[in-house]
Amino acid sequence: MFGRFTYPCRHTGKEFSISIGREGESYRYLRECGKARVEKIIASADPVMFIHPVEPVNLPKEVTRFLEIVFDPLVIEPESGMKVYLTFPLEIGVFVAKEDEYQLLDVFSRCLPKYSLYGSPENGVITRFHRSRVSDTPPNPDPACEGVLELTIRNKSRGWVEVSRAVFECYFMPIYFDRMVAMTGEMVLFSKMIAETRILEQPPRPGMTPAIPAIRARKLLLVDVEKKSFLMEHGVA
Amino acid sequence: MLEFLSATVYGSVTVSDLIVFALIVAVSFIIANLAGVYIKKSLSDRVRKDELAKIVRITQAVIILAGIFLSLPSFHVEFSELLLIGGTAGIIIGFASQRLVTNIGSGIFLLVERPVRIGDTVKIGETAGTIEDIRILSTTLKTFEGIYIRIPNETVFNSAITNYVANEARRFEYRIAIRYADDAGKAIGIISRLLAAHPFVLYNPPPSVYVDELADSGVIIMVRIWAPSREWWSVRTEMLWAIKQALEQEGFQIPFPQRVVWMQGGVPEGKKA
Repeated sequence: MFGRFTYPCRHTGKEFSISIGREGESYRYLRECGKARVEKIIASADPVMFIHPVEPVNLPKEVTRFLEIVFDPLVIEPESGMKVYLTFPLEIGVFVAKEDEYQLLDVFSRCLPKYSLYGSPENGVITRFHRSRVSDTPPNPDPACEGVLELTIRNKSRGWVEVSRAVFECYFMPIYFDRMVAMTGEMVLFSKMIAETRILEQPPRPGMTPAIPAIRARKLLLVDVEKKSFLMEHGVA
Repeated sequence: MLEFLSATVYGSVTVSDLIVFALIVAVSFIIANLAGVYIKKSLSDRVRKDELAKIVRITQAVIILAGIFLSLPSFHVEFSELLLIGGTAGIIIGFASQRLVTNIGSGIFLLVERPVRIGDTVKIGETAGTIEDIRILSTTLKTFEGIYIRIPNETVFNSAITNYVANEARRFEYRIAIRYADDAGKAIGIISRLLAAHPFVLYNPPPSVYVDELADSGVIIMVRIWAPSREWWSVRTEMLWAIKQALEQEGFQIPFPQRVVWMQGGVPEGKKA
């Protein structure tokens, strides 16, 4: 489902269909997913197309850069750690590329997006909300809808900490894929209220392909765009 | 003709000095404008609008000041004299244009305190709209009717400012009336499911839906929703109609005002419905 495609091409799955066909001097892009249908004309001689999983903060429109995953409470003893597997929501990005120039052509998803607020209205952040089950082995979710997050949680505090939510910075979130979509993250607990999270630039298993970040196609020059960790200051439960 | 150029205008300043000064300053203005256009072209899709405006303005100011600085030798100005003249002129100008200075001061405080930013939806005093620009002397707004309004910074600084998007999320509410004959519990269930399905009705803080009042003509259901501040208006308009349609599909009706009139001695024969 994910990968590199050359024109003209067609992908028809049970979840969505994408086709790019020649029309005169240009190409016509057509995507159907559920009831939604998108058509675009591409003026290019010999570009290539990539269908990759992208950061789940683009739909229905971008209002945040943070992903919040809420899961069943985990109680972690002082100065210890554990590895768990969670799921995260997926959006599918269609890129056209010419040499190193990428353009995000379309983003769609089969998941119903939902947003939330982490913290207070004055000091908090809007987050893309996702509820996940916790498992100690990699789950096998629908790769068109959800990916797998291998999360290492380390409790650096001197007390027991109950944790049931993790908020991640999504810009440049390194997502990898083969038959499944996955990423590796870590969460360091400093107290019951404060934790630091980050998505690591390492695939959960060797040989996985890194996905193109949607932010790269937008070429935003924000000052703090490279900041990849997030400090959770409003609690972890 | 050439003699005219060497004619003295003031002190040792000649006409040619004035022309050189004017030329250098004019060229610096042109370069500043070109630089502004170039920066806008290069960064418009990469940097936020208010940040871009700031970058353009600082760059242009630096170029123009550099131009003026370069052109000063044509006036044979020494910097010690310049400081003296500048200081004296500053005091005179300051007294002569107190309002202007107040506006500049207010503008600087607005830029430091940042109660509003470009693109924010605000109400300043009695004027509501979207901030278009914050300049050193004034702030410009575009009202919801698309009208341009310039407010001096002094007025902005001294007015009550309501910034509708300063907080990440905001709450709004509906009062939905249903008939007494209808099942309020079922209506609450229908509305709650609709809210859960909308992406921008925030999961947390959760929406609240409850019977708020047993009014004259119907049962009032209160619906309170939190949404991202920059999306609340679209959510508000969308959900109100969606709730009305969903309730009607399930047989609910919006009650009309009604009053039961009791006639003393009963209704006369022939008047009964």
